[in-house]
Amino acid sequence: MLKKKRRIGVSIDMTPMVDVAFLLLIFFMTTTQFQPPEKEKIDLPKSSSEAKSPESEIITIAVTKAPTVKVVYKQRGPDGLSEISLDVNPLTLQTDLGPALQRARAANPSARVVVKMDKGAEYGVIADMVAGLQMANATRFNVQTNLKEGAGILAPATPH
Amino acid sequence: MGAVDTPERGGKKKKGGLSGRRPKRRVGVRIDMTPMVDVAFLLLIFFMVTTVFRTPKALEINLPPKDAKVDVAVSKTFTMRILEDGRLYWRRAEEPWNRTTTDKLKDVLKPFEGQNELILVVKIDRKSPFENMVNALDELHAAKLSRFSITPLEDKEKQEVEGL
Repeated sequence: MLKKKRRIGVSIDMTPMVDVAFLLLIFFMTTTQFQPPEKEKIDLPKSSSEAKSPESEIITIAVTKAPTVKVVYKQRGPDGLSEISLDVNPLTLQTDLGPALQRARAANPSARVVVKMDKGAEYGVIADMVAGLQMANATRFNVQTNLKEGAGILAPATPH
Repeated sequence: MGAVDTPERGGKKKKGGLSGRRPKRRVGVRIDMTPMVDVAFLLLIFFMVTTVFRTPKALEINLPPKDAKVDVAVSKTFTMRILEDGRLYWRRAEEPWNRTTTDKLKDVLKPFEGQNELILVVKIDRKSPFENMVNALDELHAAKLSRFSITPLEDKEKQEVEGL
């Protein structure tokens, strides 16, 4: 006698779900800040390197096209972590970068050095920088780049 | 899911001055929003899945110790000189110079791919853009050539190739 009842089309009101979904979507769309605006624009060169640039525990050497050179690092002070930025004269980089880097490394000995340099800046700047890096014993550093178009996961398969 | 106004029924527009033309009461019409929501979610999920954030990448460079000196046989060297204007001169050992441009670096290195006994001496003009150095590093890496040095081009060396 047990006959299965035929299913009845049940209509569920999706409106609240959709409302919430759109609300969240709009919330995130409006609150998302893409790249934090930079005071000095640095246009990174492109490479096919896929290694991620370290983001914490770093000492940044920022070089703009002009060129201006800045050593930026974080130091733990009485009022928490503060960002310190030292300007270095690009003309005396060979002698001045070393001491600036040594100060930065004294504040944070395990920090890695990341060079953030505009692609149009002169090669001479980084050539001089090498002397400073060697002086501060930071012989291992990262050069920040952007991924080249058509590289990475979009790279064409190369026959071997 | 939504209420939309209906137009005057059937689009019949009576323009004759009808005295009994009273605005009809609006009728709530339900429109099925499901397809629209489907499409919206489909797009949302598609973009969520395919978006690749542009995170900065890095080339790692290991510098030699300060006073490292290595003697190398001239026959194993491969010299490249990159000038400010993008000209590139290259030669193996002491063969005559070949002239090309930096954007053709890939083709220059192709025949030497993976020849690890080669020692590349890359000299870059101090005034040339930093991009040239990154490109050179990148192409060397792509060609699996790991023994190289990158140093600034000296005036004497520049004069040697400039007239070619």
